[in-house]
Amino acid sequence: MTEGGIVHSFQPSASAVNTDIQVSKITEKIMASSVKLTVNGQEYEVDPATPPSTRLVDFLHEKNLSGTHVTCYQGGCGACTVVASFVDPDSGAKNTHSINSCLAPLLGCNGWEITTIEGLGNRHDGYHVIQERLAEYSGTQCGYCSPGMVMNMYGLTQSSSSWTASEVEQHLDGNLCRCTGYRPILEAFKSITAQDIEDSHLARCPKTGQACRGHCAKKENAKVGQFVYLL
Amino acid sequence: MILHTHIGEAVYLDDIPTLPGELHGAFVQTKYAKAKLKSTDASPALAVPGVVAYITARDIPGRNTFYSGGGTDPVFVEEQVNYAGQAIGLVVAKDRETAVRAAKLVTVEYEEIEKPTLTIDEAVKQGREELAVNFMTGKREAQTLGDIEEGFKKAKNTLKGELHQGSQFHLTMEAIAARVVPIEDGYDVFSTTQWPTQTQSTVAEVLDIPAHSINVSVRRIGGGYGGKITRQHVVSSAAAVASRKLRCPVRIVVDLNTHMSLVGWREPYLSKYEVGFDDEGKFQALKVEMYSDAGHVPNESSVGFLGGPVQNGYHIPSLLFRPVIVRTDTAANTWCRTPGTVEALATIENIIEHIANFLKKDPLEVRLLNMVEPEVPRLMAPPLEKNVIKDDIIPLLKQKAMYEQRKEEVEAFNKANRWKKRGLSVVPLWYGYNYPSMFRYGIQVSIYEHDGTVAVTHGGIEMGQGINTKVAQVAAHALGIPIEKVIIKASDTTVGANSTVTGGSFGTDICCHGTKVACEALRERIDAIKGEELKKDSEKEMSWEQLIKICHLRDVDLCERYWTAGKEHPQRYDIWAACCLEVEIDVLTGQYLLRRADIVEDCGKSMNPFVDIGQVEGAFIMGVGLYTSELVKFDVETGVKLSNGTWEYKPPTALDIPVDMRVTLLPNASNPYGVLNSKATGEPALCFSYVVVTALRHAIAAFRAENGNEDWFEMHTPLTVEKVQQLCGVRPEQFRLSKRDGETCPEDFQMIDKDEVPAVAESDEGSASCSMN
Repeated sequence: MTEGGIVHSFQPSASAVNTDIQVSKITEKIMASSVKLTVNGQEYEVDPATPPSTRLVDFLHEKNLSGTHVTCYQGGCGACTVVASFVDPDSGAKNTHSINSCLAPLLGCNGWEITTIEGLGNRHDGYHVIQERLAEYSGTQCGYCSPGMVMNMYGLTQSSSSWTASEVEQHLDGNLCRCTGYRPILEAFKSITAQDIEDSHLARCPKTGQACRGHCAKKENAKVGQFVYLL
Repeated sequence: MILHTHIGEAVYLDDIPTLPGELHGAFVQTKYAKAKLKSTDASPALAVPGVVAYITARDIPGRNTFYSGGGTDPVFVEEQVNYAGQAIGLVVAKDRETAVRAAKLVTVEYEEIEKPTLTIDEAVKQGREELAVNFMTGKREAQTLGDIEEGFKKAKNTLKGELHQGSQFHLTMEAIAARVVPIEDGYDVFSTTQWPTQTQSTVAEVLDIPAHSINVSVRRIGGGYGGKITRQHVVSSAAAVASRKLRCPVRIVVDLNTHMSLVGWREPYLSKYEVGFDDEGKFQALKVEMYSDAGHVPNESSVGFLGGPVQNGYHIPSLLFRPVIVRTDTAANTWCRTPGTVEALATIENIIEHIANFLKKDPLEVRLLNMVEPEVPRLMAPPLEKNVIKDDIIPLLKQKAMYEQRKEEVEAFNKANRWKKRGLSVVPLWYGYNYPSMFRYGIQVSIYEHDGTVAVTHGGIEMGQGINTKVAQVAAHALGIPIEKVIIKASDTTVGANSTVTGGSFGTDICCHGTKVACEALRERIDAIKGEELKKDSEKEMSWEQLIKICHLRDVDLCERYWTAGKEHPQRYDIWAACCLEVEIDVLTGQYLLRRADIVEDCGKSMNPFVDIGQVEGAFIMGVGLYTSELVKFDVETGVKLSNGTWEYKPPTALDIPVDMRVTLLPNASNPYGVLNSKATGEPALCFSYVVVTALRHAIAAFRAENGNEDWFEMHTPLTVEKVQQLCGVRPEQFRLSKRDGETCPEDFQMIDKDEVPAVAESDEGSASCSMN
């Protein structure tokens, strides 16, 4: 489990709020207009007045990306899992893996590219193979943990070019599910191959229902065309 | 179960965007279990920018209780504190973060602080116990079958024992939450509730307003397991009080720490038994006392219903069952997936193990020897028509699990390994399923003349158990249309007015039954028109869509409402199952692995095997958590619940499940009763999860026996890793090399004194905390 860097803001001390206000003033001076991140390809600039205790997940909810859920707010349940890509300051290499968005301070996400469940697949653009597989294997019951499960698996497929069944099990250890007893979730994810991911990394075509092969004109056009037709 | 089209798009309460001006609440909670409030000062919280108000009991216009219908359980403490974590007030702010932080700034002073009562043993010592009501006679008395004194007189052997079983947090992935929005004629209430009718009633009582001014709507909830039947009403009541006072929408979504400390969990149980049996191991007489810890107020104790379940599938000719409720200074405990039934089953299975240990017999033999025959009188249950465990399930399970072969393999493994031991056990289940007449739901099926599509609204709640999937299946089946034409709408208190709680595995069965009746009535009206049309033109071909259009033009009502009246419920039936589990323990560390589980469950003619297998597996794993890792600890001085988050409380994770898990739905098991020949699956499988304890017992017993101790030992649950380690009773003298190759247990390695092996794992004695047994 990841160590949380924001737990201090919940200490029951009378000075906590004032401290946050002071820190946010300092933060404003140092980092004014400097925190930018992308979520599902869209660029956002974080309001410089944002308190440092703000979590990435709070920001996502503010943007109405409510598919990312929260249960514990302490990095212990995985419901808030999203995938982050960022340049490692030490190695200079680009890293992509799943993170607990309840533990990620928003102001620490400068330059990060975030993918949420909405960006992975949805009813308008088509679903990702991980979403489809989870449903095919009856890996959802109440469905509350499902987005986190899917993003965790997506993180594994993005951080590595191949994975074993055992790695899938190990990787899911931080995601709780109270309904299913995990067996169908594990079986769904173990069935996913690198080839599946390769075929599915682009959104499904709204016209054919198949993975987008990049043959036709821009995706936007297809959507507009459909919209006009429906009118 | 939700469709893949919903992963990331299914809307839960907190996914609803906030309205302009919507406020957020956070609870201020007590820090002592037994004390009085002296003073509260909210001014530091109110000084925080963004904080709007501090709401307390004084702001409640009606009754200060979130238990409607006469029960009490205060929304906010007025003077006497009942438990640590109880709500004192609610800080309301412009955003959640500010509310949570400001709530910590409210200073509370207490007086008359006393050491709280936290366990059943302490409560019994203090006389805080009462007999539960015998629901057959309406009196507070024990339940009896046969002549118990005569039974013990005849008994060849007698044994006595005790079994403590701990609590369990429901751990719904979605926390309890509520949103209350003032509207022109009352309030729209959004609540994570399994019982919208009760949500409506509690809000009506708390605000002292009429029920018809409160609209409760529930799209779905993120898990229930009984934890959202009444407990979330503290949240909806508090939000309603704040919303009324501030005349704004108010939302409360609690974090996990608050959720775990604010409300009660599964009741802890203590069973005391005395059993008489013959030399073969047949029951002659049994006295069982079950003590349920109801928390500070016994609104929801299940113990009175356990006279039937405590017999499981066995014949006990004389039986005395004494159900006792105790009160402790803890949050009022509540129903949790098979409340009490699992503890009753564990009690009798533990007794069977005790008898088998005494007679040095295979426990499965003792189980089979005691199987009840049809037509034999039973306590608090009708005689059986057939004993399916004996006739069908155990033979199939033994074959599927290769029981005899694996039993030998386990014995061979245990002989060959000094520090690793395996255990193999079978636990059967009889689960009497009797539709209570109070479980009733409003159902409306609407067919749209535009295109013949169908919408169903039912009074049940989708919480992952697949009620919507099954209701849609039943509607499509009864109307004779593809399932794609059917959609299930949110439950509400208008169409679903007066509907009962979705719980006890009854919701799905009864809503499916009601949907079937409503759809059959519609089908009858539609078929009548079809017949008339065909009379006019026998060649006329009518698609469903055309037929619906014709019906609409001919003034047929295309909507049907049905109230699933208790007197029209389907007939009761029995559910049967058994599980065979193999475990391996590491004697030195106490760590264990569930190697293989084989489950056979009778689901009748399953309406949806994907849903039913999911229910069986999910319930089983939840039970494994109950009996192994889910330990609750309290601070013994203050009564504060220390296990209040994922870092301190451990439900099973993906790596804790059996390496190999095989579920078989009993084939050719059509049910003549019930709905469409099916049987309920939501809860029963949790009961036989006690097999994890009996399997661990055999692994632990193998090590103890190797060291010369074959005596009975008590196994109180949950069996955490450290308890398993302690029960093995490893002594430093055992850490020696063998004298010769192949000799695993030289005589001088024996335990010095078998009595020194701890019968009860007292892991927390002397520390600042105590386990809840």
